[in-house]
Amino acid sequence: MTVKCLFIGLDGATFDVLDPLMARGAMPFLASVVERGGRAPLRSTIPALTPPAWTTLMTGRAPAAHGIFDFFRRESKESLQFSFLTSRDIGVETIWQRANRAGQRVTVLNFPLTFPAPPVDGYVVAGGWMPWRQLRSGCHPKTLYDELKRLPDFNPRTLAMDMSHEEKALEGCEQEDYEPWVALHIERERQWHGVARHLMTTDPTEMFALLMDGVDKLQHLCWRFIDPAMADQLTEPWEARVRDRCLDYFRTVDEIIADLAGLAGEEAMIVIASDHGFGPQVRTFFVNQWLAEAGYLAWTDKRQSATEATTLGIASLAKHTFQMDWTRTVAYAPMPSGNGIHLVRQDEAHPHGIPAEALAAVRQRIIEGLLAVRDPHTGEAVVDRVWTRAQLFAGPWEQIAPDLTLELSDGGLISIVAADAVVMPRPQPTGTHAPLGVLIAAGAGVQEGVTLPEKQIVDSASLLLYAVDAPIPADLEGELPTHLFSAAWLERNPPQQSDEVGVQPVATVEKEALFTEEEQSEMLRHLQALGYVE
Amino acid sequence: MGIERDAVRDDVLGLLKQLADDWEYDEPITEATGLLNDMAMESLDLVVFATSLQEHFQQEMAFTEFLTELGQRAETDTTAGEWVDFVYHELQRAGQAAL
Ligand SMILES: [Zn+2]
Repeated sequence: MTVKCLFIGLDGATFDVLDPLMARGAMPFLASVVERGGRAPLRSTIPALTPPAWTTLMTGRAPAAHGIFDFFRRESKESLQFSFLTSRDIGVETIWQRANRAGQRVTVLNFPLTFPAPPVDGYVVAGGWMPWRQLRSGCHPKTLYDELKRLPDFNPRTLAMDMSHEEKALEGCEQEDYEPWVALHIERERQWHGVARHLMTTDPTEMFALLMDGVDKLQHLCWRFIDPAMADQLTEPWEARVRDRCLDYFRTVDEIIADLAGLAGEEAMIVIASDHGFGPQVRTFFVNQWLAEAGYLAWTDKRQSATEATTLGIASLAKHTFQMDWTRTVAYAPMPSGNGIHLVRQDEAHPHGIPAEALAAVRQRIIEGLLAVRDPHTGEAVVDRVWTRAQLFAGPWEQIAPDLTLELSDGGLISIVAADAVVMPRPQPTGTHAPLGVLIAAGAGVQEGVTLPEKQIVDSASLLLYAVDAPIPADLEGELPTHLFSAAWLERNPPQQSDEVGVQPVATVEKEALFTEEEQSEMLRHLQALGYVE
Repeated sequence: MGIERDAVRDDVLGLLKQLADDWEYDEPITEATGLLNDMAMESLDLVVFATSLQEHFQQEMAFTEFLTELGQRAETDTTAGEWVDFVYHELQRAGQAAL
């Protein structure tokens, strides 16, 4: 069997960073791929967030169809509780399943929302929030973990999530913490490389996909060391060292891609894509504070003691949904990751919610208020656009989606904690998600040196299926970027269409929560560790 | 048809043992073993383990209430035996011979 498509996911990669790195010779292999292939800016989902964006890439469907808007989802339309999402919650079929149906085997390494590992024909090692102690359960087939354990340098604690490592990022920001943080991610990518290399040499599958997520994690914490515009202004020796370590990280990524491309062989198409781009975040918008000052949200006194350790030994970050006074709160942002605001509707359980007849007017007043928020230091609008859930998420999941989704003018993510002011400048710019990611492809009919206009992330699913000669199903929402390929190639290899629609039953909206408040608090802490503004 | 608690216990402890072997936890795992204090799991592990148990027994279980109760009480640990009891109870409730 030979690899037909090597797909490398680079979480959060942007040409704003990759182009200068390629120009200065830090990513020579990537530069060679771009030179002999094609590239396009790749527009992310709204919101430009890891779970919805990768799920869109993995399904060829928008969040409205797959139902993944964030790391968490409201349990039911009445509930104020949120549950953490797993592979079972994806409401449509993935391209992995579809490739299998076309007789193509798949290897899927380190993608979010792949726990429990889906029983594909091929291999899965789950990514995202996969705790290292249970990585065995994130592996498919079941025997895979034992196989990996026999690899000489295999270290699950580095490969998967270890909170004691992640929490370093929380304490982070001390000078001496940056270098070990970058080193951890270099080592983590090497671990994934080891797994990928093993599988590709022992049993290569037609589709071979590896996600490296250190790009996102480094850029969140180390943006000013990575962004060329800022990195050139670094003056302190320690800053220059961190900068060098960041370059080492990107060099490592380049070497890994080069090695896997070599193993995949010249016949394989190589596709590299990111789920969203990155850019500097210059200010913090405390959206719940704004809602409080505008009279839509009330805090309880409980938040005063929020940092105290709670039961089960979990240091609680209980500053969030259960710190709100539900007799006086009608609008709130529960998560620091999705830029979403939920409205509380009046019903038996929530007698203080918004009556149905008033909902549209309240929603409109909130939208207008948000659009009027100004940065007191610059006078700039803080919120660029507010989407209603009917605009973004119409479909089977609409009733549990956020009522409003914000696009901030600096591209950043909201903060959900109480604060002394609604908008504050950040002392140092940090990295935050931006809408434009990257799409790069080469080999197997991709023309040399093509630069395409912006593509949509939903298009990548069609490209990946085409790359393994699988038909492109009618219910995929994207389009195959045909301009990547020469006319002669397309004539010899015409894209096949299929009328089939996904067969996976749509998961139901009414779902039992698996997470207690304490666990949700820990999840929020994880989000913080991952660099989400808190 | 009946679900034997002993069989549920063997499965739950067996799954824990298999996981614990991966991080070289050498103590015997009994119903008295504490998942957090003895085995050093984190609360994210509890949630993931709950998902794994549902996979193993092919049965959706009401872990919400179970985990909520764990989170609210004063003790700072949860024993393997409690998990066996819970799973046994849920399987009985579902009236399904999952073993
Ligand atoms: Zn991401």
